[in-house]
Amino acid sequence: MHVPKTNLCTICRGHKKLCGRGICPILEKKRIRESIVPLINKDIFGASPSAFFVGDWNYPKVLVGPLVPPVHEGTDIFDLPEAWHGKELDEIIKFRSLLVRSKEFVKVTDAKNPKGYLEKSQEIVMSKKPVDVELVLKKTPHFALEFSQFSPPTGPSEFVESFKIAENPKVPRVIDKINSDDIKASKGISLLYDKDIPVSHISKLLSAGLLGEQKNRKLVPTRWSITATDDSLSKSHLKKIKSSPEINKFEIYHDEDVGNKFVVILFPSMWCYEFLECWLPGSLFLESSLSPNVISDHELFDGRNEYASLTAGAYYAARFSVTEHLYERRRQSGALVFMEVHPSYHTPVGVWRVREITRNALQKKPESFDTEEEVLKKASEILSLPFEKYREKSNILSFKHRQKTLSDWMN
Amino acid sequence: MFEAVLSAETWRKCVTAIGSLVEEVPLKITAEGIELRAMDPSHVSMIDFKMNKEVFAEYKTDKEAIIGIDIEDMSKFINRSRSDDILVLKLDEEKNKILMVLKGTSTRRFGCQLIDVTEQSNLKMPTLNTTSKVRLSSQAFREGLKDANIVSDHVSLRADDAFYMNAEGDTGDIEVKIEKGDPDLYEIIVSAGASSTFNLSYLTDMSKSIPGEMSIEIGNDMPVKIEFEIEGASFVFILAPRVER
Repeated sequence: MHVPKTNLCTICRGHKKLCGRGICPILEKKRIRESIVPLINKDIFGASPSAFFVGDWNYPKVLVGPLVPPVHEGTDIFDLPEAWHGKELDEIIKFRSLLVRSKEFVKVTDAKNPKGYLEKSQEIVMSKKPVDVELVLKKTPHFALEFSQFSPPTGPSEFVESFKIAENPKVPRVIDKINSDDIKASKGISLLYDKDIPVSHISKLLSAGLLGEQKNRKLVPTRWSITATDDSLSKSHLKKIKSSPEINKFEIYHDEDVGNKFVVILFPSMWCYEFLECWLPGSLFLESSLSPNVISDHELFDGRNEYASLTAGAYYAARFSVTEHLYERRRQSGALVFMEVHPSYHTPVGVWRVREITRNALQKKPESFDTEEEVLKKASEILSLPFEKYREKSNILSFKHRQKTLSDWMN
Repeated sequence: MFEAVLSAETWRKCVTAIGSLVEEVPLKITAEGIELRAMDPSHVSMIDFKMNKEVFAEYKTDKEAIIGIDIEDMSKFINRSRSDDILVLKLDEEKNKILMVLKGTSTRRFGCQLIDVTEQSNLKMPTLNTTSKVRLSSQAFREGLKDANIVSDHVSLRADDAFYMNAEGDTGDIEVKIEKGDPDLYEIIVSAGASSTFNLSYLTDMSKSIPGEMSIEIGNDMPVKIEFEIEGASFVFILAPRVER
């Protein structure tokens, strides 16, 4: 958990809120630890929510294993970000900390011909419902919350002594079929999506090496699998979007959750997309005394050739939600997505929030305007940072205003 | 009836160059050779491509035709060729396909489905009052674009006493100067100083497939015209500028 690098903490001791955060991250960590530590020892018996983690450290021989909580009830949402919208950040962190991460070194190519530990883990990942698992660890794990910029946090981790699946996993027929087929991963991802398998579950199947051509199957580190799934699905949506008619108004959508504010503007245009991100002063990655900076990545009609390195997984997660929305409407548009992170987002919980908050925003009824000026004015009323800061950094807005078309020179 | 024979490698290079700008194109087949002219969907850039019948080893056609080609599909096929393969292009009107027959150590036939492209078949070239023309090495041009990309997503091309590429961003600014006497500059003709600014990702895509020598014509806040040849086929790329508000 984030500990501010300042001597303010010794003066404040969690009471005066000198760092500007509503909740003291140090005390919060202590509270969570106290509620969870008594539940965790080396024998864990609980319902694993088909959760599986593949690390990227030491690739291609990586640490992998199912996540098993020491509880049976209500675990179905523990690894299902699609169900987290509207939940308090503390609640999410609490149930994530319960997910004990078992681990074992496995070669990524073992997924071609899984045996023993990996094979059993894969059975759990394929299940639609939580699976009862008896897990014996080498020793009692130390309490820790492990964070990644991409994947949701997980609880303490420890090497596995033995583990046993205590019931038959319930595997949806489409997952079973696509797993046994010999088709490209991208095709499998699209087919699963069409059959309403949640995106978070698809990325776990990809991660566990259950998708793709049989001879190419590999374990995929969790953080890569999340972005790969978002990217693959939005590319398949975009194929259809790019030949669909353009929308004819300027639309604005917005939503806020766990201290993250999102504004989505769709405007009449060929497909183009920009993701603009700003951490406000006092938020997780910006001291309250510093001035905020907007970062952005974008693509024009033909898409990107390089990874969106500034905004990273968030770029692809939001693009997924925008393309899902346009695909369902059979429409094409330009899209600007603004993400503003507020101080109340005190612990990073992963890129899922970008996908789900954007998705939720786009399910609402938009406000529509006839001009760009009006829609940007509305955006500036919703966003906290002065809009000029975004305008200065927006490549799409500047492209739109400054790029001429050849028709000016055709008689 | 249309049938033409050429080196697969030449066709592969041409298709790659066309594909750097447009995806769906109307290819015109005439008694003189093949040609196409198309704009990208956002109407920011244009390509004009001509391959005279002399470039082909054999060339036969009995009437003019315009066929719609998905360049992405065609490049997947032609990318399967080996460098010394001979390519036979044939039109199969009945099946609405263009056939690509690759002759090497074996004979491989690919049938590429034709598509509808009615919209762009009568496109005129834009009228440009450019005042400067520079002939230079395409490698030097590409390197200049890469330099500019460090600080910005657009670049100014300027011709004066020399040819300049300038870019400016939050982190700094960059100037590339190519002048008379530099081995990368072959010719520079300036009737009046000229400067225009362009989107870097478009220019970078355009420049990728240009071999050897190229010429650039620029004016003030005017589209840029880039000309080059690929093994006898002539290419013109035009890109609209970016202007300050």
